[in-house]
Amino acid sequence: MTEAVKTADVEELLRYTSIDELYGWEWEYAKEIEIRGKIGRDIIEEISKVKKEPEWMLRLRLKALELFNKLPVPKWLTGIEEIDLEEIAAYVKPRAELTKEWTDLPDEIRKAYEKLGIPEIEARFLSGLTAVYGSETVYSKMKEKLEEKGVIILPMEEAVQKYPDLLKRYFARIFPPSDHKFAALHVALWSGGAFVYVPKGVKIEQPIEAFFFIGGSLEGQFEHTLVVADEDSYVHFIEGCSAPLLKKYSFHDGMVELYAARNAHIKFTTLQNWSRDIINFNNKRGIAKENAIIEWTEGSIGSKITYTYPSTILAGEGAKTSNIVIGIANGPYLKDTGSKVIHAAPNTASRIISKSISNNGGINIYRGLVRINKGAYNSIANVECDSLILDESSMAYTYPHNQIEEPTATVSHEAKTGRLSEDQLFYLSSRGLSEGEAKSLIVIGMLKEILSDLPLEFVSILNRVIQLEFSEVGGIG
Amino acid sequence: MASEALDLLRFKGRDALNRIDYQKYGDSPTVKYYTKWKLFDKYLVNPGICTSIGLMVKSDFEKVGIWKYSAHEDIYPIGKLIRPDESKVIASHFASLRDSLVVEIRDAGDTEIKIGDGLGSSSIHARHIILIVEKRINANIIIDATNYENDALETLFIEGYLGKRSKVNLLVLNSPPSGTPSINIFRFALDSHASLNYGYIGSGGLMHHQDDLFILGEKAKIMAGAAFVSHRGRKIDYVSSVIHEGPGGESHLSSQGVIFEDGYGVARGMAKITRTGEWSKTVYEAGVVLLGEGGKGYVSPMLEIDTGNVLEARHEAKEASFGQDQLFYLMSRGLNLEEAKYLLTYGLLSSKISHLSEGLKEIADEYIKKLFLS
Repeated sequence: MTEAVKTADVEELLRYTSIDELYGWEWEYAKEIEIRGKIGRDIIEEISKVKKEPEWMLRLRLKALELFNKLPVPKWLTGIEEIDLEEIAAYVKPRAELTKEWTDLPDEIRKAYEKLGIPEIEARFLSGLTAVYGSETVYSKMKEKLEEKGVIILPMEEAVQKYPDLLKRYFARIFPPSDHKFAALHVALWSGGAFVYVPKGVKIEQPIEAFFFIGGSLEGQFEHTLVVADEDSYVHFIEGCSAPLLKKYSFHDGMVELYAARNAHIKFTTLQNWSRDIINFNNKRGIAKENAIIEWTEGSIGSKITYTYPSTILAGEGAKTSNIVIGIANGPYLKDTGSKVIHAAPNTASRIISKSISNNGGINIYRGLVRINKGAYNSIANVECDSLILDESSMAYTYPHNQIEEPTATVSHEAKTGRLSEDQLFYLSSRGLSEGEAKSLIVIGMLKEILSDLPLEFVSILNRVIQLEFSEVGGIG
Repeated sequence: MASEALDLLRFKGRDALNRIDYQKYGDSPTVKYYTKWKLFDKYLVNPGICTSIGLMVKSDFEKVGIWKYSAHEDIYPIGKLIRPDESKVIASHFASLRDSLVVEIRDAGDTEIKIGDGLGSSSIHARHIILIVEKRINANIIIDATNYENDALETLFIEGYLGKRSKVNLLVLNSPPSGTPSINIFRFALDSHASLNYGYIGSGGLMHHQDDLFILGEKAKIMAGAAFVSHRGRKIDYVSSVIHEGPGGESHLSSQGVIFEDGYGVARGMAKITRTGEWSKTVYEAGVVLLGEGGKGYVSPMLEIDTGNVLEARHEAKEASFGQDQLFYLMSRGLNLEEAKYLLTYGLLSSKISHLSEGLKEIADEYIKKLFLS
């Protein structure tokens, strides 16, 4: 018999004294299916068969496989050579059935979410939650009042079965597999994730969350999130990621596609706190139609290597986007982050803010692109990059590209890289703070753009994670 | 007397020419290359060796302590700062090279190096300058590359060494032929406390220009400003980079492109502070202004900082048409739209050479005006 769900997890979490305690060590969990080997037609067909997918989805996967085999590894990626795709599991189904009750989940899976306070946060602050463990969605629930308004929040597999027309229109269309090798790999192997549809005029007050957990070494996670916000609607989607400390690495290659119809507004917040054994590749792109707004906020705290570049195509007149990307590389880890915006319609506006902190030999890279197509009259784009290097062994690189083909557009870009000034440290230490505490305080200050939009419990957890990261026991060097 | 070193460089150039690419990596996630390298192809099939060096030094060099050599004399090494196996066009340059002009400045004074014709029937006209400024010397140098042949791929490479505590004002006026592609690669290495004030003004056809400035000694300083104009159908890729290897250095790089109707211009480059370059300061500014329909302007100012011990590192980019406020202000004082745009553009470009010595500034200013009249 399973235990009842605890309700005081957040407080417990805040009592942790080290980053290792927070993540915990890899534990065994029962697996129903595990598929690994050379990525080929056999594996794709097996995954599709397990999921009882319609023919059109299998065809899409096989087309993506073909592209994966043809496309070269992007030359600008560093560290990706560590991944041996034959070594990692392409699909892992835990021994757990999809449920709407936490108490139905096996103990070892439930405790992963409890440890992070997810059930408590869901009960108090979320409109809906999708929890993915390994390759499969194990929990999915939406508040009843949203159902009455016609909102759809479903595990992606269920959406493929129930809403094929909607899926065919958007799935892998906003971010096509032909974009690059890892987008193709994702579409070929995708499993788990959430589909959200917000009908015309519906504004969802509380956020929706999807939480992704990798439970074991040498596992691949390829979850797919698709959010379609119809005209005049509003939704805030929060994505969280975590994993315990693993014996070997695991690989995450997820995809997020957003479609904001006329006057719709989508906020998408990511709190990535993978353990130091995860190589994390993200494919994130949104399309904003006339007067629509897409806001990306990306907090990249954990992982061994992260590649993430949230992108928006401003496809309708008056569309706007704000992309905030924050990368923390504390230890010998790489954060290769950035943002892309394509202005493809008149009077569009974009803002990119990138903030990074490198410490203990950490490397932060910003790669950005702002493109203003011919005919995107009077468009405005603004880019700000702010990099902080906290010691002499850490690095920060900034690679922006601004491509302007419309003479009435205005684009500005500013970037600065600096160190923690002696004055700041002196001020903080004179108030009794240790160097670690001072550093975590500065980091929390840099994260304020993310924190201001989140429920208080999230903020408390994030603050604690950062304090542990920079504390003497938690600093990883 | 033939130089074995030059022969070896030509051999390496020919060997690399058929073996290596124009560049190893694309320039951005969406643009494979900012320079249209395909247009260089036909010139690289089988280049011959030039019949002259195509360079003239306009100076009473013995009187002002300027010494001129041939690379054949093997007094200063060639191909140290620019190696033949770096890229396809660099290989082609060395493969065609007749000789290098070596200019050694031993005393304060003015020097003008003028690009000349008469390089023969080779499909590549390769010009190469080794420029040495001895320690504690103040020098004004003009490189006039404004009026030359139009039937070959024109290459102009400079390897420059600035000695300890030398102070150099360098102005480059560059207008390569519009009908053929051209490539410039200028590399300068600065020793301790050396100072380089550099101004570049360019226009031209299909041009790839690259300035690579290396601060090797401690506390060296670079102020570099570049202005280029791209008219209809012209394609200019201006790349400017600085690398701080020596500690306590300062650099300020600023480049500005003006793109007219159907022109194409790129202002890009990198400021890098390595671990040994700690306590340095670098500021990088780049911008383009589009002054007509069909123009394309790309800007990419990059920063690579390898140490937290940095005084300041920042970059800025600005691309736009002129603000309505600025234009309105000028038009309310009686200027028509074209005159207002001209005035703003002129102001923008001349701000890039304001750090040069007075004499060079005047020459640069006249040249900017001439660019507009053409």
